[in-house]
Amino acid sequence: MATKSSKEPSVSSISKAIGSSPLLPGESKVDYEQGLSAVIEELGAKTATQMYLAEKIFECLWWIRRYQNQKRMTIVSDMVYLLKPGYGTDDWKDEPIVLQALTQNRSTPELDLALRRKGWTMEVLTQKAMHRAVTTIGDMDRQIELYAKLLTRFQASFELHFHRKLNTERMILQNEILKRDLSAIEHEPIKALPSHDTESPSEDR
Amino acid sequence: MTPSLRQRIANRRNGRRSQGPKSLEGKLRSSQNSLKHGLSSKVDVSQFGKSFSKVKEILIKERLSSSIAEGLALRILDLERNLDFQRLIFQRNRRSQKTLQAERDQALRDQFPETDDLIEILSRVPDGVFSLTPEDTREGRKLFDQAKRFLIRVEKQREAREKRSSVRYLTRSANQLGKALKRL
Repeated sequence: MATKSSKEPSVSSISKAIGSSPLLPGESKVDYEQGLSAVIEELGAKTATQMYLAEKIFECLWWIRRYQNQKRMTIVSDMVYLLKPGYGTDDWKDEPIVLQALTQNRSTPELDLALRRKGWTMEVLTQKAMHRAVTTIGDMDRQIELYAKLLTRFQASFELHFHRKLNTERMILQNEILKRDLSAIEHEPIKALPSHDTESPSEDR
Repeated sequence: MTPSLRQRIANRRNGRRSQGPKSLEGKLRSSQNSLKHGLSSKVDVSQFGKSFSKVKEILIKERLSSSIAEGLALRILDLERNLDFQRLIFQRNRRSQKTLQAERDQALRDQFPETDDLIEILSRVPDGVFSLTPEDTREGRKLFDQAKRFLIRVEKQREAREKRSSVRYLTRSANQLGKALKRL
C-alpha cells in the first residue's frame, strides 16, 4: 500500500489545476503525500470531487498537526528564554545545545547546569513556560478547534457526496430489478413443457 | 431657493476640483484603495489565471451542467484563497521573536525616521546647550519607548483582527462549498 502511494502522488486533478501547494517551507512532502494517499484509500475516493474533498479532509488534519507542533515549539522556546541568564537580554553560548536538548526531549549537562543555576526542576520550568505562553497556546487551541470543525464539515460533505452516488447506483439497480420483475409478470406464463413433436411459440413468430 | 452669487462661485470652484477617477483603469485602481485582505469580496477569476476554466472542465467531465460546474469551481477557488491566506498568517506568526522585534523597529524607524537620529544627536550635545539636561534626553527616550509600545500594541490588535476575520471567511467558504455540493 505504501509503495503504491509513494509511486503515485495522489493529488486530485482539481488541486493540480489550481496549483497551490498545501505545504509550508520546512515541511516534509513525503509525509504529506503518504498521509494523503492513506486518507484517499481509506475513504475510497474515486471521482475528482471526492478526491478534492478527501484532500481537504487531510489538509485539516495536517493543519491540526502543524498547530500542535507549533504549540510544542512555543513552549520549548519559552523554556529556553526562561533559562537564559538575565532573562533573554544577554547572549548565551549554550542556547543552541539547550534548545536542541529540549526539542528532542533529552537531558544534557548544559541543560542541567542551566536548571541548577535557576534552582528549578524540569517540571517547574515547564509550568513557568506554559504560564508564559498561555495566550499564544490559547490562540493555537482556537485554531485547532477551527480546523476540527472544518474537518467535520468536509467529512459531512464527503459522506453526502459519496453516499449519494452509492444511493443513486442502488436505486438504478433496484429499478432494473423492478423492470425485470414487471416484464416477467407481463409475459404469458408457460403452460406446459413443449413436447418433441410440437413447435415452440417463439419459432412460430 | 436660488443660491447666492457667492454660493454659485463656490460651487463652480468646487466643481473644477477632482471628482474622482474617470477612466475605467483609474476606477479599478481606486476600487482597491481600502482593500485589506480581499477575502470578503467576490472571487476574481482573473486572479487565478487558467485555473478557473480547468477546474470547471474537470467538473463538467463529472457530468455536471456548465452553470453548476461554474458555481462549484468558484466555491473551490474561494476556499483555496482562504486557505492560502491562513498559510500566510501562519508563516508570519512562525517568525522568531528576534525577527519580529527587528521588523517592528524598522517599521517604527520608517514611520518616524528622525526620532532615533534626533535622540542620538541630542545625547551628544553638551549639557547647557538648548538647555537640555541628561534628564531631558532620558525623558525623550522614555517617550520614544512609549510610542514604540503603543505602535506594537496597535499592530498586534490589527493582526488579531485580521486573524479573526480570516477565520470567519474560511468557515464561510467551507460552508458554501458544502452547500454547493449538497445541491448537486
